[in-house]
Amino acid sequence: METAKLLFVFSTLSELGQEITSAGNFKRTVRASLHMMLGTLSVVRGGIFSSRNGNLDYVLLASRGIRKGDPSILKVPKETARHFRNHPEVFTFKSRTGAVRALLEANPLLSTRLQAVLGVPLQVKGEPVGLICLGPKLEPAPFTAEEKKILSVLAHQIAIALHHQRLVEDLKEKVRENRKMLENLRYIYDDTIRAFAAAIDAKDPYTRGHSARVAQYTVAIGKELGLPDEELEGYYVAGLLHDVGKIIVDKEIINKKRSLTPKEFAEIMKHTTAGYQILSSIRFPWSDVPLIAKWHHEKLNGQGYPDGLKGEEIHLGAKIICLADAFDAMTSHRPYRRRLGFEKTLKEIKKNVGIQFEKEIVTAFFRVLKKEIEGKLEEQRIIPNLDKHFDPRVIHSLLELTIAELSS
Amino acid sequence: MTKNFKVIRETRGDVALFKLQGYLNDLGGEEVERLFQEEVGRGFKKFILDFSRVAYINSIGVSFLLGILETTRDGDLMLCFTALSKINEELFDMVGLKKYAFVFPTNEEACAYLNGR
Repeated sequence: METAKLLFVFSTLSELGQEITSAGNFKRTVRASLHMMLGTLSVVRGGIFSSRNGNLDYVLLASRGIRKGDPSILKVPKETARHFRNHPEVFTFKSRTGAVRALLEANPLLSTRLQAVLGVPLQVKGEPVGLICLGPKLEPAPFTAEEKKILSVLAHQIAIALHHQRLVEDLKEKVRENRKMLENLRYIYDDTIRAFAAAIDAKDPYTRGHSARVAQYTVAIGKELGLPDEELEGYYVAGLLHDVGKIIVDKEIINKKRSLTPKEFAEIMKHTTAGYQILSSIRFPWSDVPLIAKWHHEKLNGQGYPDGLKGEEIHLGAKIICLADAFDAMTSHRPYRRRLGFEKTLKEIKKNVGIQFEKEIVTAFFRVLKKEIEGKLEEQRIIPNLDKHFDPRVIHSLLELTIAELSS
Repeated sequence: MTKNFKVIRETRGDVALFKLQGYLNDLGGEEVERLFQEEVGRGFKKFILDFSRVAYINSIGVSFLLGILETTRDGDLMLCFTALSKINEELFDMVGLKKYAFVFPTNEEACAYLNGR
């Protein structure tokens, strides 16, 4: 081969390598590859096909000669597929072997549109990835042995590009499948936790839905405090499961209509540590869930249980749930008392700021309530759960006043 | 895609003249073939491709020129290449492009030739 031609081929090979390894659009890469091949071999028509369906179909990726409206899929007879798998080398359509003849007969456009002269099955590591078909050269002359070698080298590069694309597509599909699976697992996980929470509340007809509401209120407060979504998810789960330890407490005590004796109260108090023990055996994505459940009855002044922690010693999540829990308890009927009105509940909470509840958390909670009354939040998590017998204007001004007072 | 490639289309009587500018080395070169087909569709039969401002042509560019030559040959059209640099002329010689087109140093000479036909 003369030097100029050799340099031209080398330069094409180098550009083809760059094109294939670039992170560009795959279709563009294949089209560019086709034109590089046509230009290098002075061929006027040709096509690159990608195999699929166990090598029994070839899908057109790029061509010169095949028109819009023409079939874009080549049907590959079994004997041709088998032949190509065993002989992945450049072949001439003129040879008319059984396998080639079968391919031509099944796909007239190879003769009519491409006027196919040369072909080469594309393989990577023995796996078929496609087919290249070339039409006649501009000059009516047969392909030389050198040109067939050049085609073979270029085809190998293109095969690698097709193979890479297939790997990328497979990977994308796997990512899609895994994401779907993860989503389903998440639904199952959420449903399981909710069902578990409902089972806890079912022990006492008065607390039906309590855990779900506490979880909702907790998220509302946490959102207002500007906590990140991941932390809120953990708090939501902790809210749902904060009373899980009640499964060890006697139903009679939980449903008792009169005041509890000191012994019975001691029994009730056990639900925090029991909850901690139960939840510690579960591998939550949020490691603080057991601790939050354990400490949701701790008070800022150190008079809570089980550990008598004070102020900063108490986990933020536990402090938020403590308020959410108390709010729901006060606004719900209990076997031993009727629910408090909304206004009275808010005053009771305010009275306990610094004693049981943290000021910043109460302020955030009141801000959420105010926003919900004003209709400023897309999703209302608290007001819809409350008894409707309250005057929004009165509550609104009370909230406004308390927020100002707490913020000063 | 090469941003430094463009085609200026002019007519000289019944001759369609395409002044190519920049690098004919990627899919941007498809534009030449598309415009050429458009002028064929409008009834033009004589064409000039002016390469005076073409810096580089690679195998992709050659492929688009092959497409134009095939149309020329099959449609009984006349095509001239003008102002080819030495390196481009050698390339055209090597890939067989010169066999199906007339080569002239200037557009005027190509026009004179085509008008005399």
